[in-house]
Amino acid sequence: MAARAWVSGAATTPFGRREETLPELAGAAATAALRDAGLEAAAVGAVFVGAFTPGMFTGQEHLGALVAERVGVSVPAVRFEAACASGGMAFHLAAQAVEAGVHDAVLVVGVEKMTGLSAGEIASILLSASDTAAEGRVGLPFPAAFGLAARAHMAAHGTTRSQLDAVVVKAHANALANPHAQFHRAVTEEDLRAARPVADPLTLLDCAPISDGAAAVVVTRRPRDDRSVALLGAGAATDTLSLLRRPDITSFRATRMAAARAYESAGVRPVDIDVAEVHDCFSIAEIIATEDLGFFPAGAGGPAAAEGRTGLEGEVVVNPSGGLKAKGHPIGATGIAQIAACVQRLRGEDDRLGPVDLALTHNLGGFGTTAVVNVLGRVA
Amino acid sequence: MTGVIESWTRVFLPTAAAPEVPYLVVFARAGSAGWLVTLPDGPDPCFGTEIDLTGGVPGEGVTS
Repeated sequence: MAARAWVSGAATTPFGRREETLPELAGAAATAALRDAGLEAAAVGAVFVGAFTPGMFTGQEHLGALVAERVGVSVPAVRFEAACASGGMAFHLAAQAVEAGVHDAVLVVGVEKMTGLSAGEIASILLSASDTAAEGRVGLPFPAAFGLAARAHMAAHGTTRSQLDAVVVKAHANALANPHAQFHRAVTEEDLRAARPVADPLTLLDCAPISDGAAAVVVTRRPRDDRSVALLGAGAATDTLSLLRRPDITSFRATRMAAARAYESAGVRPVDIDVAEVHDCFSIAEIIATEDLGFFPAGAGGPAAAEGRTGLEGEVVVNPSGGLKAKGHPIGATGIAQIAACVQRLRGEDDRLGPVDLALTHNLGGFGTTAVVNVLGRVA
Repeated sequence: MTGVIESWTRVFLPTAAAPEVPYLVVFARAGSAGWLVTLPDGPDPCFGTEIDLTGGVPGEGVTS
C-alpha cells in the first residue's frame, strides 16, 4: 500500500449549540490542526473550506478568504459545496492537489453554524439540497425521504425497529467517550419508546441533530512524523439528485461507486477495514452504509447492528466517535470530523480499541446523491 | 394513471408545501419512474398495491 497523501494534523471544535461565531469556529479548528501538524501557517499552499450554505445559515459567504485571514496566510482559498458531503469533497480535492504536486500542504477546514435559525427555517434550507423540481414540489424533508428508505428496507429485507434502535443506542454509548460530542447521554429503552415520531418508522432519536462546529485537517505530500496518517485510497461519486430517478431506494449507488474506487486505489477489501466513520444522518443510513460499503451483504446490515458486529468489540467498529447521530452534524464539518476521528484511532489514541491499521470514512450528501469514501492507514 | 406502492411514511414535520401534520407521503412506481404522492393522514398504505398518481410529482425515468 502506498500513500497518496498524508494527513499530518487534525482537530475539531466541540459540536453542539455553540456561542462562537462561524469565523471563530473555523479559525479555532484550523489553528488547532496546524498546531497538531507542527506546521507554521506559512507552509500552507492553499486553504480549502467545506461548508454547505453558510450564506443562508448566517449571512456569511466568502469562507475561503475568511479562513485564510484567520490563520494569517494569503494563498488561494476557496469554499466547496456538496450538501452534507461538502467537507468530504473539499478533502478529496485537496488530496488530489497534493498528490498532483500542486501544493506541499493544504489546510482543509469544514464548518457550519446552523443553530441561529428556527427549525422551520433550517428545514427549508436543508430542502435546497434535494431536487427542488421533484422532492421540493412535495416539500419532502430529508427525514421523510429516509423514512421512505427505512420502510422500503424493512419491506425488502426484514429490517426491524429494534435494529434501528441498536444503531441509536450504540451511537450515544460511543459518544460518551468523545469530549467534543454534542450528546453525552446514553439512550435507554424508555427513551426509545417515548421518542416522538418524525417520519415513521423514524423518530427524533433516529435523526442527527442540528449542530454548530468545525473540523480541520492538514494534508501534506510527505509525512511530518510518525503521527502522520496515510491516505491510501479515495473515491467520490454522484447519483441522481432526486430519489424519483433511482431504481432502488434501499441502497445508494454513489456510495457503492465511491467505495469501489477507494478500495481499488488502496488495494484493500472491505473485510480489511478495522474502523469506519460512516454517514449516519439517520439510523437507517448507517445500516444502508454498512451494506453499500461491503461490510455486510444487502439486508444484513440491520442484523449486524443488532448483533453488535459494528460495536467496539465488533469485526468492524462503526462510528466510535458517536457518529453524526450523537457527535453532532454541523454539515460542512462532518466529512472532516470523520477523518479527524479516524486519525485519532490510527494514532492509537482511543483506549477502547486495540491496534487500528486501516480506517474508512464515508461522507454522504443529499439522499445518497454525493458520496466520498477514504481509506486511511498507518504506513511504515 | 396509477403506480405501484414501493414505500410510504407518515410525516410529522410541517413544511410550506404541507403545513398540516401528520400527512402521508407515498413513493410509487409507474414503469421505471418514481412518483411521490402526498395524502391526508389515513390508513396505512399497502405495499404492492396500486395508487392513483393524480396530483403526484413524477420523476423523469430511471437513469441507472
